[in-house]
Amino acid sequence: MKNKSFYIPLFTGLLMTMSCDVIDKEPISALSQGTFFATRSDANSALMGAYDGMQQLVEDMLIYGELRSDNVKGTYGSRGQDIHLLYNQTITPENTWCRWGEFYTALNRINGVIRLVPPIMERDPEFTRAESNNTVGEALYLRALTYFYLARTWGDVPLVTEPSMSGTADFQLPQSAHQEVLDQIVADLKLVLDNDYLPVTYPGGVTHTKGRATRAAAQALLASVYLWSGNYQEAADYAQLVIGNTNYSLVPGTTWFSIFAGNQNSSESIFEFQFDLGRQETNRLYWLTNGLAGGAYLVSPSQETLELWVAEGDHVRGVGRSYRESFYPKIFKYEMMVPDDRSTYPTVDLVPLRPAQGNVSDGNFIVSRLPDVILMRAEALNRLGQRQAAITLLNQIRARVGLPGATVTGSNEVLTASATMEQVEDAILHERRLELAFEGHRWFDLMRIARHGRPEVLIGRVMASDLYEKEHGQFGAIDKNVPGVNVIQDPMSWYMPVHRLELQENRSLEQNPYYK
Amino acid sequence: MTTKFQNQSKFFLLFGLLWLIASHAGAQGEKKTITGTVADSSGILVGVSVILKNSNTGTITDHTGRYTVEAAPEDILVFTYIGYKGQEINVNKQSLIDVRLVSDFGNLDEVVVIGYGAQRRRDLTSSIVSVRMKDVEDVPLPSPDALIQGRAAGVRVTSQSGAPGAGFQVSVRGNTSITAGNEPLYVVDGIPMRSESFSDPLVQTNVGSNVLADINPDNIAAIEIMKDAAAAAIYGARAANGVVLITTKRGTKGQSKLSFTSYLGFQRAPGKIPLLSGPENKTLLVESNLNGNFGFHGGLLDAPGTPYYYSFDNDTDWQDLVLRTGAIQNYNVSLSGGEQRTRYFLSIGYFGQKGTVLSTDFNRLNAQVNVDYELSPRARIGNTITVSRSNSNRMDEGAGQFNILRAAYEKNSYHPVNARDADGNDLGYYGGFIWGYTQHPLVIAEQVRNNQVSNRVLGNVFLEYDILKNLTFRTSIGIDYTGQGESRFIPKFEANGIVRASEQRIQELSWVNENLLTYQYDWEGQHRLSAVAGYSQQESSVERLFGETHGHPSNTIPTLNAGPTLVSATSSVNEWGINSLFGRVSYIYDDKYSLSANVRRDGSSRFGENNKYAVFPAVSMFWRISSEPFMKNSNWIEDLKLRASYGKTGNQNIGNYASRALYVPGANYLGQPGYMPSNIGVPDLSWEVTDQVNLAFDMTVLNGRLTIIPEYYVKKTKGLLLQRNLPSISGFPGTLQNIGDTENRGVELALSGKVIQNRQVTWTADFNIARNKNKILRLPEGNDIFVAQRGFTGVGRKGEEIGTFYGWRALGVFPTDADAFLTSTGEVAYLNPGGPLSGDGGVLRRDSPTGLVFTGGDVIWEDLNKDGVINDADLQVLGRAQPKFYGGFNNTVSYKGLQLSVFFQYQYGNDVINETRRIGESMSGVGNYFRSTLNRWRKQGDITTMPKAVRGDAMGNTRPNSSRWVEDGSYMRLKTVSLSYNVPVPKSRAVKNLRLYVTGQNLITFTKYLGTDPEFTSNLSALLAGIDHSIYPQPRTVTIGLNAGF
Repeated sequence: MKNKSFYIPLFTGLLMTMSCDVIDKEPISALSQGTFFATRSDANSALMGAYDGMQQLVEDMLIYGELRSDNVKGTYGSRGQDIHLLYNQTITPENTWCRWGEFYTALNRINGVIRLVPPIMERDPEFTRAESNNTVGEALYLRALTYFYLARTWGDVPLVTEPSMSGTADFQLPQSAHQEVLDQIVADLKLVLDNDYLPVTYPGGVTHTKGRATRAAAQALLASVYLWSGNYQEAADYAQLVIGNTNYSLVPGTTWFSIFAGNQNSSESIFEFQFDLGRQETNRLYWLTNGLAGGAYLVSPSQETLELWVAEGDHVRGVGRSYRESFYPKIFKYEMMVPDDRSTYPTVDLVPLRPAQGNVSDGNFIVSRLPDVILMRAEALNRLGQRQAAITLLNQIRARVGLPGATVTGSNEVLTASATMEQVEDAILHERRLELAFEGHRWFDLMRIARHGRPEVLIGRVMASDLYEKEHGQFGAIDKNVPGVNVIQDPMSWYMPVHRLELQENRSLEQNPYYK
Repeated sequence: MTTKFQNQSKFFLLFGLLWLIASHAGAQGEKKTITGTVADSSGILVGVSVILKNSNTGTITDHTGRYTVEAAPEDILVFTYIGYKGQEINVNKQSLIDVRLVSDFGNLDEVVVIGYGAQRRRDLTSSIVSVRMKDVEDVPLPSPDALIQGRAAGVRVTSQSGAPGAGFQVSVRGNTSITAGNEPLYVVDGIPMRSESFSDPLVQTNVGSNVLADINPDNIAAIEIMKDAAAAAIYGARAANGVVLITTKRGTKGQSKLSFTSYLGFQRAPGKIPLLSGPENKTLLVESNLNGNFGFHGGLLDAPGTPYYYSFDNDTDWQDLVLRTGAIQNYNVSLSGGEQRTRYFLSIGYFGQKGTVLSTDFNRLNAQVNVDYELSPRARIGNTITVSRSNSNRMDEGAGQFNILRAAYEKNSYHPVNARDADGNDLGYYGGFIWGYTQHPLVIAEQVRNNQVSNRVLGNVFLEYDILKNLTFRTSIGIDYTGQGESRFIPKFEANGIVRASEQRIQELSWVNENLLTYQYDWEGQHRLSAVAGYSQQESSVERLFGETHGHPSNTIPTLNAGPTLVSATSSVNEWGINSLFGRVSYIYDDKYSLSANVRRDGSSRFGENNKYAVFPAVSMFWRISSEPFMKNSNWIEDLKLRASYGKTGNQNIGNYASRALYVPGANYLGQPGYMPSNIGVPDLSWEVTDQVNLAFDMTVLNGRLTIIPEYYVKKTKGLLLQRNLPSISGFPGTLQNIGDTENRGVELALSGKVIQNRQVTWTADFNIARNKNKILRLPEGNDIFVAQRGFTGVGRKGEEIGTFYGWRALGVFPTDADAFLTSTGEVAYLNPGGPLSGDGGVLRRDSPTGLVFTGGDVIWEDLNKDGVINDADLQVLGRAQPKFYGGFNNTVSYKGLQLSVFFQYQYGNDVINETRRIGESMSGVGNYFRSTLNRWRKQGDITTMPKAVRGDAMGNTRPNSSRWVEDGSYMRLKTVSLSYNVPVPKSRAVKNLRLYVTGQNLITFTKYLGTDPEFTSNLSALLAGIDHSIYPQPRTVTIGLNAGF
């Protein structure tokens, strides 16, 4: 081996081929800030990411909208859990349900779309202004919806309208007043509606038209926001825009449950978060309300609710429909249902339902559907003094499921225009409870009425609920001291406290005075 | 791209210089070149010092055991190596001198491998421990990290679990980091290797697989552990937790040597947990049902006439059914030798282990090929290749859904093994799986499949060229490749269960290129100078593929293709790279004074735009006090050296793109792809930097019979890579930032001595002890940080150590309801006997002023703020996971051919959480419980420390965050005891040497710990180390072995 020096260039050559700069590493399975928001498809990906963020919130939407109400109760399994403390109104700033992080995670994605999508027009000529407006419009709708949940749950909340761009920012932001948050919601929705950002339907078929923000969805949400803030005329007007829209109609009573099962996305649906097991999208509510196949069964219908449908003789929406009757009653919505063996329910008129085979946990979460809008308009008109019109709308909902006209609560007296505002409102509230049970409305309904001059409605309902009495029947006396009754006298107690950790990390926040 | 150009131009410059020097080289001395290899009875010796007698010139054997020295015929070569008797050989006319050294003890002339070089122990300025392979050759252990347990002062090695193939946790001088890992860097034959198991394994366990088991201990020539910054800083940004250098064996010149080693053994679990018998289990459940308002039966104990009635009158010992006698076996054949220019070491080995719990095993097939070839007297090439394939079947541990041991503890003892129907017919045990909601341990053991197969190739090729007599250039390219496949199959065995199969394929390829210039200068022994300069780059890429399907129609096909529902199919690629320039200069004057300095500049892809490069310098010195005139008269001190060092090291062990603002796919909606922000950018993100000061004496006294090494160090780590919580309005849970400081201070003492040394008997003893005090000095915004796992909380708090348990303190159990009332001063009546009871009947409550009321039989929690409510305000520090001191103690006695070795390993003063006992004493569910629950509170007035049995446990008597489960984890263990015999063999026979031995491991453990095994750790988080969540205990093992040379 005379020419030993031959080996040095050999090695050198080998090294040169490998000597690329090893410390410049762009991520491969992710995108860095600079490379995203560049094309038309990025705009859509960011928007879908925002919807995905909202999908994670359906559990919150149900918990905040129902759990403190008379509709549901924490099961035995939820005892010792934060969900049980929430249900029995023993809420402290340590309760994990006082955390609002998931809402802001979704908001960060939404704000990213609103702020970073329009500049894509300059980078990708294929991306039109109309597409940009539509994308931003959907995000604005989602932002309004998110803040509406936040505002109704915590009262005053930090108002973030920009995406978070740097980890070194301090993110110390105080809460904005409740009204300021509502103003932002209204501004977002008005911007969308006045400029026609949103389409009436989407090309992707019914799952898109019901699963994405449409003009009607924005109108329905705006009606709801106006009703919350007591702008009854605007609420009635925006509700009417949806009611008058021929794209939406009530499904017949005989197929009422198809709203929740089978194909869903019914003709009366306005906006629902879509879940699809085939796409690995499961609805966490199944976990909450079901005990089988890994479900925790933490929330069940209250005994009082179950008796309500029975008392009404409501077979369309009652047993085997909205709930299953058993020692452990169970909410049926959010589970895929199929007709049951008729013989097990000999006494009911309609073929009851039972859960579909297997682990079907992809029921959609309905944010808005026509009966909600109709009853909102009824409520607004009633407050505006138009009792007959309100009663007509109310009875339209009852007639659909084969029930006679509404009566005055607690009597058999038929409800007429001569009834008082309170009597009509109570009947509407009652109907909302039957129709929209377990869809995340009840607590907000009670709060809305209570905020507008009738706190006794909320207090009375919570006191009358089977918070403890029914439990004692099942499990024996545990504690005679019923906290829930006392605490709800203070309107600030209707809102949740700010979690201790949120206060610790964001020192500009103020605790809800009730929990100080 | 400027950096790229700069690096390349540096490269050209380096090579240009090399060529220049090479072309002018060639001046030869008058002396001739002597080469040879040095070996002992079992193989080559690395770093043996070879010196010309009466001069100070010489060299050391390289990692192939080979040396080259210039000597005249009249010279005498002196060979010295620690633990071996020196040898002197006249050169005469020989040019090839192979030497066999005979072992001795306590020689400072031993040479140790250091980062990018080797040094005589006598010349060390830094803190490096060598583990003598001789001490561990009769110990059947699967991996190198296990070998160093208890053998090196200041190095704490804890097994994560006793499961076959489970990993170890190694920490050198305490924990520096909270989130960025505390494992040392492992460098095998110059290749920095991946030493941590891949995250997110399919098996549900908190126990990593043993990645280091890919290195067969039989092939290891030396293990050195760099403890202080001066030793480790040459590895820069990865060295903050120390560096472990592993050198594999190489061939030696001479006759081919075939050797065969093997051991076979049996293993048993250390013991069973005492559980309730069938009738006792039933009694407890009835009591618990009644106390929890579930009624007498509570849906569990069906009345006569129901289908399962016959199933409730048994007394089954489930532990007996899932435990078995394990087996361990190892075979290794190696062939080594060499001729004029070629030397080789070839080895092939098999290690197999059948675990002490059903269905668990581990086996490894391993091959090693190390070859050296001399191109010319000046140029050498060679390679190292380790190939291994391991296959393990594991079980869920910890939080896993199907932990066989936990199932055996929890399964009702009144259940039969096989279910019977109403007529008493045998249904097999599948039929009974769901009774009482507890899982059937045998079904899990037989059906749940957790298989992991890993293929590893670790190797390099190198070229060495002597540019000048004392200037050598070395370049090498190494790779570390892993191909790992995991599969998990959950069969159908529940009425509503779903069959689930998942598979994961991970492939990592890392390559490293290193280029070194080494210079040695020796001026008549007065001035000795050595210098190293190098450039290195390493790049790694990990690819992952994961798939999961559900709904297999039966349990017959466990692979993905049989499941009709595709739940997940995803893949990802992840890369990192590091490039480095480094150098070291060390100077020794007259063997008395030495100064050494080294520096490394690392650039890493992992860090923020603004912090790509960092520099890690270190300086160190020694002063040989015993050579000073004033010490000359001391006749009992043979050698006394003071060492001191200071340096910086770094820790870059975080996610590959942690500094970037990232958007990731997967946030899909309506079947359309959706992206979401996953990480908020931190352009300033940088290394954790550890400053370390080390002060030590190396002392040899009593004619070399006793070596004493006391060391003292202070490590301060700044800029911790901490996940800082962001206000949730940011939309991110938090972000990594460099905030927070920690400190480790410690002392170490290593003693080794020859207690008896005469012709017949030798007795050597080694003892080491280390004390490390860890402290968190600073945290973001001064706040505590918490880590929670399975209800347990670890707190990171200023002034506390990393690994502090947090929760409520239990003071006992209320004997009666009235004992839980509050006095008018807010005291709990029981704790303030005779105190005035409050007028309004104040009571102690749970969680809130309106919460549930504590009564007799409930645990008394300390109400720190005396507000009558047990809530978060009453949380306190309950224990500390790091030991106060730890170490090992080894004694070896030889008599003729017999040798007895007894090795103890210990740690003292650490707390552990016994989660197994929490489940076993909870009495709140529907399973079986520990025998200790027989002592439970049953009626008003009972005085005991075991609360009442209440199904549902509404009062949280069995809450995880509680002092009830914190125990003293101190132990001293007879880790190994072995007896070996060197069978005398006549010289003429084919067998050259033959040794037989019998070894016992983990035979005796002294501990107060109530669980099955006090030696465990958990790699959940540094803040929450030491939770025994039904770990797989270390088995007791007895093996017999033989080593034969041909």
